[in-house]
Formats: sequence, C-alpha cells, structure tokens
Amino acid sequence: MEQEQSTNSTEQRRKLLKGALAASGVVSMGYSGSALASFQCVSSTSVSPPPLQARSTPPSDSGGLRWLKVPLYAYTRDTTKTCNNGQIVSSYEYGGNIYPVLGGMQIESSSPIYMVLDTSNGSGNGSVILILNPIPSGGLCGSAISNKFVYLLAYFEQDGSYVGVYTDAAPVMSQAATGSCLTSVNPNLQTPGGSANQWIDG
Amino acid sequence: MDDRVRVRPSPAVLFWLDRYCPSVDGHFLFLDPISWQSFELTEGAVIVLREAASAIEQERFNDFLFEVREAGGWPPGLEFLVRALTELRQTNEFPFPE
Repeated sequence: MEQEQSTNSTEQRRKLLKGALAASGVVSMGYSGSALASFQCVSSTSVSPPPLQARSTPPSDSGGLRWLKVPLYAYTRDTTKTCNNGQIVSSYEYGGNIYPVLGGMQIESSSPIYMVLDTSNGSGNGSVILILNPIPSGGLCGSAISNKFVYLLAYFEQDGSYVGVYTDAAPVMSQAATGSCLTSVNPNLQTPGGSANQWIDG
Repeated sequence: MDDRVRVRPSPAVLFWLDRYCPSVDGHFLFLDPISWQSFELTEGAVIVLREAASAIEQERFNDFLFEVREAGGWPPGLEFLVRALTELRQTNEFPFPE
C-alpha cells in the first residue's frame, strides 16, 4: 500500500516536472545594479498599510524613499449606494465595466479616500484611481471629477508579492521600496512623461 | 558526553529561492548565485528550480537530472541556473550536540 502511494507520488512529481519544463522560459536581464537592489528591496520590505491620503507633492523629508508621479483619476460614489464601515471594496466601475480592486480595501468611515490601481488595462500598472467613498461589491461609481497627478510609494510583502501603492508617509512597522529597487521589478511603471524609471526624489 | 556529530541538513538552496526568486506582478525574478546576473522566469521555470532545489537538498540530484532527461530535456537557459543552485550546497559539516 505504502509502495503504491509512493509510486503514485513519484509519477505525479514527474508529470509536474514534465509540464513545468515545457512551460519554462528564461530571459536574461544581465548584470544590473538596480536589479540586484531589487532583490534586497523586495525581500526586505513588508507592509501593513492603513488607508492613506493622496499627496500632491512628495514629502520634504522622504527618508530615502523614492516617490513616483502617476496620473490620478478620481471618482465619486453613486449616491444611491450605501458604503458601510468595515466592508471590503472588491471592484470599481470604469466606462461601464467592472474591474477588480487588487487586494481589496477595508472601508473606514474616518478615511473616505481610497486608492486602487487602474486594472482596466489588464495590468494594473501606470495609473491610479482615487475613489471617494468607495462602493463595496462592485457598486457603480460616478463620472471622473478630476484628472491630475499624485506621488506614490510601492510596497511589497516579504515573500516578494506586490501589495500596492500608497501615497502617504511610510506606515509604522513597514518598509517602502527604496532607491532604485523598483526600476527593474516593475519597469512598466512610468512617469507621465512616458519614460520609465524616473523616480521622484522627495 | 557523546561526541559524535550529525550533519545538519542544509536549507541553503531553498532559502536562496525564497529570498532571491520573488514573484512580482506575475513575473519571477531570479538572482544567479554564481554570476550575480538576474533573470526573468516563467512560473514553469520556477517550478523546475524548486524541484531541483528539493532534489539537491535531499541528495538525489542525479535522479532529478535523469527525470529531466526522461521528460524531454532542458529548455534553453534553465540547466545553467539549476547547476548554479548546486553550488549552494553546504559543504562544511559542522557539529552540534546530540
């Protein structure tokens, strides 16, 4: 019986390996100082972010953190919907379609402004949507009320998974990405001028 | 006191993958421990690296190589990275009390 289970396990592992080999791809990024910094950054940062307010300018004392300037789209909520404290915002409406909110956000009545990455382009990169009084469970939002820029910090979990971007000072017990560490991790992030990696120093 | 020693299993290879093969935005980055060059990997490649790491740690790497051959061989660029992982095997045996 045990031998049979062991054989099955080995066969499953071999099938997994065969599939993984067939789906393997390797692209060299070369020797890059910024790439090396990325590993240190990603592996050493963590986050427990509170809801944060948007910033129109980087802080005067950034503590070495790098801020990225991105387009901001703000929406007001549909006044026919109810937004309850403690609910999770799971999606937002844009152009008549519903898009997911990456990671979800907890609604707190004391913080009426929430940010989500713009997932309507399929990547979640490049722009940020600021929701005023967000609607849980995909309720409709109103029309855009502004189109301007904000300054962002990106955060990662210790396992390297992307958490999100936030616009306030570094949260307590957390570390934001520093220096050039994000330039190779997420090269699609761009400044409004269109060229990547133009991080804004505070 | 019993002065026999045991060899502590080395977690260095899997540790390296945990720390230097992060997933970011659906992509995987890998830092070659030998050349210090970085690579972008697919999820399939990461699975192969993890299987290789487990095989290295369990001292069945030759069996793993045989399984790769049986499965159709190496895709471009991946064997080099797996070979680099083998260099992380702990070579210094250090004693600790029973």
